[in-house]
Amino acid sequence: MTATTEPAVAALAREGVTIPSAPWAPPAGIADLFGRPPLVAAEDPDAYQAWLRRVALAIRPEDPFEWVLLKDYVDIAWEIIRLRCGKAAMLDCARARTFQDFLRQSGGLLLLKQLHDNPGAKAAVLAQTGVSEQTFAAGAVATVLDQPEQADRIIAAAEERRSAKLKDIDQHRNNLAKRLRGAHPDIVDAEFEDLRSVDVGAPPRGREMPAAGARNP
Amino acid sequence: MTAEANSAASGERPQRRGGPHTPGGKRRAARNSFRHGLSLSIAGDPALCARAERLAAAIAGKDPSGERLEQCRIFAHAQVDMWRVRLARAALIDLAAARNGGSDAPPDAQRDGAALLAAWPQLVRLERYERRAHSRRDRAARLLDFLQ
Repeated sequence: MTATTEPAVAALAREGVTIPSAPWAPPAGIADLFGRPPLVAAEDPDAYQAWLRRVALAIRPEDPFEWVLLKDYVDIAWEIIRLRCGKAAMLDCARARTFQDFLRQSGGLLLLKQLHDNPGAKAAVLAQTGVSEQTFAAGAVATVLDQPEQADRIIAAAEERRSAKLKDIDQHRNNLAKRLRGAHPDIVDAEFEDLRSVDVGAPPRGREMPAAGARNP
Repeated sequence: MTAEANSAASGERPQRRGGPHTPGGKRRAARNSFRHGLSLSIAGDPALCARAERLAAAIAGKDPSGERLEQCRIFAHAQVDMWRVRLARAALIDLAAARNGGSDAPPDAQRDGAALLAAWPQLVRLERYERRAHSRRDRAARLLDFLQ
């Protein structure tokens, strides 16, 4: 997505062309139908809208149906990034909890307090426990085995749905083109119809057409 | 031939089908969708219905036939359902983060992970809802002949 939108926007910006955001924002009626974006409180709505406009600049949706597919694409892509960051965050949280639980269970309340008062002293606290950070990291993975695996499956399914949106837009446009091509011969024939063979009624007085074959005076 | 009859014919133990088997379990499972603020259909929510109707009209275009408008309506209902599921997912994460607050709040660096871990079982169930809504929406889109 970004590989196609960034060069186009940057090239136009270098030529001094300001890309107006409004033409690539959803039309007013469609934007109302979209409603609130599906963002978590910590996520930036301006970043979401900017991304929506950049994808619209690349795809250039032509009707409400394409706008709906485009929004789906953006929502799913956003969700994929949230899940990837979330997977890492879950592991970090599990690692910290594993460490704290170990200190608590091994009677290390004093060590836990030292760490709480001085987070920078983690290395010293670890040295006192005799257990390395890698061991805690490995232990953390064991406590949250299911969640990262499920997150990977959900991400894979979301990536498939995301790719399908672009194919759906392509197919929609192909179908529309086929319908236009199917209607084209009628349009062409009407444009080149020989009007002399069509009865258009008598011409106004004094404006009679010369007979066929007559020379111009 | 049913699965049970198949198993009996081959001499295997019949496999029980998944899901609840008792009336109480079935009643609880039937209400699962309400626990996420979702109902089985958006038809029960006038605001969502109105939104789906406006979306259907926008997609159907000018002077659509009755059949086309009806198909657009089916598509729009499934689409609005999907949007609703996505909002529910974001709300679940926010609620979990809010519950994690207070004196036992995790440090900032762990807040996102803690919220996700707390909300994870419900998020997985929501993912199944979204997949089903997505399938309904795609079927409706095929009926519209857009994807033929």
